[in-house]
Amino acid sequence: MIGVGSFLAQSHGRVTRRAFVKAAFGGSLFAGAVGRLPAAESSLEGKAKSVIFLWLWGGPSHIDTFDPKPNAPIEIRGPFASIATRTPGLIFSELFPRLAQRSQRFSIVRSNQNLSNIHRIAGSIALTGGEGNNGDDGYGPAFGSVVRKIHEGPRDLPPFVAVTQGKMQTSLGVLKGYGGGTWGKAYDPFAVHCTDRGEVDIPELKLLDGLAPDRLSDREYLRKELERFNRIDRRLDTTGWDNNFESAYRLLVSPDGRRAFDLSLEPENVRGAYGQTVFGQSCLLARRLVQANVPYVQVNWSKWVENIYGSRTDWGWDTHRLNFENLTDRHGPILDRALSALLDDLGERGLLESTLVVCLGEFGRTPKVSASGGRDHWPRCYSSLWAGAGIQPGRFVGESDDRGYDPLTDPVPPGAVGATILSQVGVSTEQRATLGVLPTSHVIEGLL
Amino acid sequence: MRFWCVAALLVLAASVSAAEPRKLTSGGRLKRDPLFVDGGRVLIYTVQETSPRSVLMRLTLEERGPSRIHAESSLPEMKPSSSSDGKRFAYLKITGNDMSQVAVDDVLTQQTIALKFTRPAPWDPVITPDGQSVVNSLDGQLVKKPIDGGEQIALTKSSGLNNWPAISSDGKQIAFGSSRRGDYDIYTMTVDGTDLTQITDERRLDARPAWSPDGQQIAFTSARDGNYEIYVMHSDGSRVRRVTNHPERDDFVTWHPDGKRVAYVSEREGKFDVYLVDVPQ
Repeated sequence: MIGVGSFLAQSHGRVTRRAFVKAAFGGSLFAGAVGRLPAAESSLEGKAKSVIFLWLWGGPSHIDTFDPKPNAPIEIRGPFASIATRTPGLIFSELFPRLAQRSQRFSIVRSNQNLSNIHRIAGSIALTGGEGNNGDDGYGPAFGSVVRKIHEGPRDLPPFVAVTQGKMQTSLGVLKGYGGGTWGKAYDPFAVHCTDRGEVDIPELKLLDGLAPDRLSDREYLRKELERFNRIDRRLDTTGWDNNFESAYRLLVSPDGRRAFDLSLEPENVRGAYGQTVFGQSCLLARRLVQANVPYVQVNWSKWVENIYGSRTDWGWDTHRLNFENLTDRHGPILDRALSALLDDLGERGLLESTLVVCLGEFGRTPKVSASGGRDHWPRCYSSLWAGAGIQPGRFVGESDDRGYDPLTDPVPPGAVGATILSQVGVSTEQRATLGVLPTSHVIEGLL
Repeated sequence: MRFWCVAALLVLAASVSAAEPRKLTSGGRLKRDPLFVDGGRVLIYTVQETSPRSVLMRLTLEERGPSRIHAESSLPEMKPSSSSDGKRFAYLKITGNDMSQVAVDDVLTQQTIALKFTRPAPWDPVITPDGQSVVNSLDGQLVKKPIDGGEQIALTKSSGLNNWPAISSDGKQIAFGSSRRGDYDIYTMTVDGTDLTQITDERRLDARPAWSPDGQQIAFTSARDGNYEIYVMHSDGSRVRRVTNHPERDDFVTWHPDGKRVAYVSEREGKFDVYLVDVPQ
């Protein structure tokens, strides 16, 4: 079931008039006709038609996931056993048996490095590839925003979708480098919520009071309603009214566009394969959007970075305390199942060849278990998972030292993550230079 | 030849008589921590993914539909446990950033007692059968805290981590998971922290022990066969028997008061529900 705001596509809910107008006039909602490169410049020939970027907000421990250290002292290796994968020489934490069985579908980078150990800054750097120009501000565009600028995408769907529980935050403030950054909000992602039951809600896109689904196809009715409201409320910024209306209208009136968000159309066994969790169903939604040719989908593990946070608890990966308890109970099994299902599903549908899947957080966690029974922030070395669209599977790239403190090989900075994603989408080094996006960054050679 | 025929018949008889797991809950939402109270007539458990993110549910098994135990609470709750007379009920509340609280509902006084610890994130509380104390993990060590006042007592001071305490019905023994020797194994000790005995020794994770009502057996979760499954053993670690065998996850085991069955959370086709099954003899 898909909710367009409070409206459910398979029911007849009613919501407020102002909310719909917000959707129609809100410049940040759609790529539609917003600031794309001219057609000649936007023709791309990358191996990846789409990207699914799985964002493990909070920073998973590399040692407890994809780079365990079984021979390190107990205070470093932690309590989890390591298990063999199908890739010779690659071992995982025992929390990931399904992924271990599928390791020949993907590759692991074990030498990621970030420039900051502060979530908001490291997160912005990890999502944009570079530092801000004004402290924790002035970040360039996120990778998805760059793709949005250059990629046509489908006519009826936004080209950069974030499946999220809300704007990503920490207890100290919001994450700033999630979207258009210095390019402006027009390049922000189109945010949708997804519940553990697969109910999809598009919070910014609300419908008029009394608007029933059968009126969605009545273009003239919608236009008149909006024009009427515009006469009433001149306080609204109507700049770009036509473009934004057309963009909003396209999604609202397009059955195909709405169907892409409707997980109830999936067979029960497919929904079950991903697991009845927020992250699992969000990954399934990402697959549906990719199937509908959306070029960039980011799935956020949580809204809040914190692992436990009172009523705001949504189990982020920031496990200063209870790292081992919650990875055992929750994070490990959920990620293992959902990501495995996503890789299987994309592979079985023949979509993995044209879909780049990247999974990582903003940093790793301290090799040494803290006195609080958790692990703290560790930007000097961490891991990421890559699959599809030209990524050579069954490899591991880079190596960390025997205690997971530092890379033994060349570190992979966030700029290289961005350069690799954009390269696979078909953005050349020259185009990056023209756009001013990561002009000096290089792709991660060993992956390709 | 005669031996093999008899053996085959016995295996066949066992497989025919073995009851299928009985599903006790529905809905498939992420569940954990099942617990029988009221002589097995009521099942309490935790459901996650709702808002707030984790709530305690109460299900009277012969009636339809569970209900929230603390309907007004806005804080996530989990890990319920009950004193043997059912008059006190302990659970965990998540109260802030890396902060949690052990709460005890007293049925007689209708009061909730909040226990204070020296560190901010107690976890996995379990109330003693006499309802006088709570044992829980605190930054990777086990502690005991009197409910009606008194100092927190350290029960472990080991390397590694100590988690998932369970107290035998006579109140004398604690079973728990510990990684003091590397990976998580099951240990027992007296309720004052002495006479430590390691009772499992597997390279893969052994976790979440649960005492049988007669104190003779311990059920637990283990990944020894590749994924999370339920096992039962004698309380000295002997006679390990596998209870579940499924490619999906089985976890969070608890005993039915009859001592013959266990309930656990099983993930089946991605949905999480509580199942009840006979324990193999």
